[in-house]
Amino acid sequence: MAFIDYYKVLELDKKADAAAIKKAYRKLARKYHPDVNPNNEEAHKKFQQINEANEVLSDPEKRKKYDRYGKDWEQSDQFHAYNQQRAQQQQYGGGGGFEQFGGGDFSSFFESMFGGGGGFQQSRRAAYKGQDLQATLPLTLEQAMTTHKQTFTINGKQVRITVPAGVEHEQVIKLKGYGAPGSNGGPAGDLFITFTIMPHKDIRRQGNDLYLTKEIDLYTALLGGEVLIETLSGKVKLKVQPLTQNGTKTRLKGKGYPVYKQEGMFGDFYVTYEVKLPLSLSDKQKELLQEMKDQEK
Amino acid sequence: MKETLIPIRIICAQHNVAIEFAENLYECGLIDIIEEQEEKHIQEDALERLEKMIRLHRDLEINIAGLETINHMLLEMEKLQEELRVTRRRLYFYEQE
Repeated sequence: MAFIDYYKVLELDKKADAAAIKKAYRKLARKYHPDVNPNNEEAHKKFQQINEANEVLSDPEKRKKYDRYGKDWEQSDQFHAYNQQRAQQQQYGGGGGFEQFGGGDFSSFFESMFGGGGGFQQSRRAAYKGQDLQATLPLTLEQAMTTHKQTFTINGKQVRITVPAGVEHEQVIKLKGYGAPGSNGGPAGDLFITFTIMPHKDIRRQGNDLYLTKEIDLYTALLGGEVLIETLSGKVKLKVQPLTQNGTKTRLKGKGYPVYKQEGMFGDFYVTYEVKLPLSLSDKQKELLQEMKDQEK
Repeated sequence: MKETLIPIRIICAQHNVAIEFAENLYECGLIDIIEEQEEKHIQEDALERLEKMIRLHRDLEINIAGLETINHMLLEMEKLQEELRVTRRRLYFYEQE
């Protein structure tokens, strides 16, 4: 449990009067209020500290006590009482709960000096929604192409979700009420899950379409033939037309990625042919190619 | 499916604000009010938004004009965050190449 310098939190010096405290509190509260900083955990924490500092410094009795003990706050009577209470809670298995940030509670330091929140002006302790939580769920391109269930543990709670086929990279879904519990009777926060689709070694995805580059040899490109390509759902045999140019693109209609939440709809699969020239030629091949060249003249 | 309506009178009483505050928000277009059987209501899914306005007004003493500005800026921020997400997604596509 660390000492908290409330003057520093409110950016004040120790001689600040009530008006200066009020002004500093207003200024910082407007900056860090959770409603103007959605999904900003840092701002939520800062707002909690500002509230706590204001509770102490704006109350002459509490401020006097805080100023008297200062960094020697562990000498205060309340601290000893608090320690005893904590020891009993631990002995009987009761949870303290103050260490966890919940959006509106006070720090252990505050509780130890001023008790468990009794005597506050209740109207100031507004009900706040619990902290929103963020989680990332990595999926392979193959996993994300079928609707499936995923189970994971977050904040000690087991969460089971259905991942619909066709989710996008960095798509976020919200699970209402699965975040941290609210404070002062406020609702629980939400859980935001971001899907990250890991890159596939050969296939690229853009929207619902898939792209693959397939190498073909010179002779297949010139004379035509067949190639075997590997899609996400299996191998497909493709016919290569004679005189296929380098960079020629073939579209396999409806063989792409499933469209998100539209059952039975799929994007297309594009295959780009990349003609590879031979790295070595036999004498016979050289001779034949020379003959071909001569015929072109 | 019939939408759930919540009487404004009850929400304002719970949060200790005057009904006129909610009516002013309605006049500025910040919330929608539905009148049914001579009672003013809001839809359940607008409750979070109304409560947010009440908290900002009560905790930070922000007036209606200030709430309008904050609301506008938060919407802009959401829009920019969405644009950033889309741009990142596009960048990710090109980085795969």
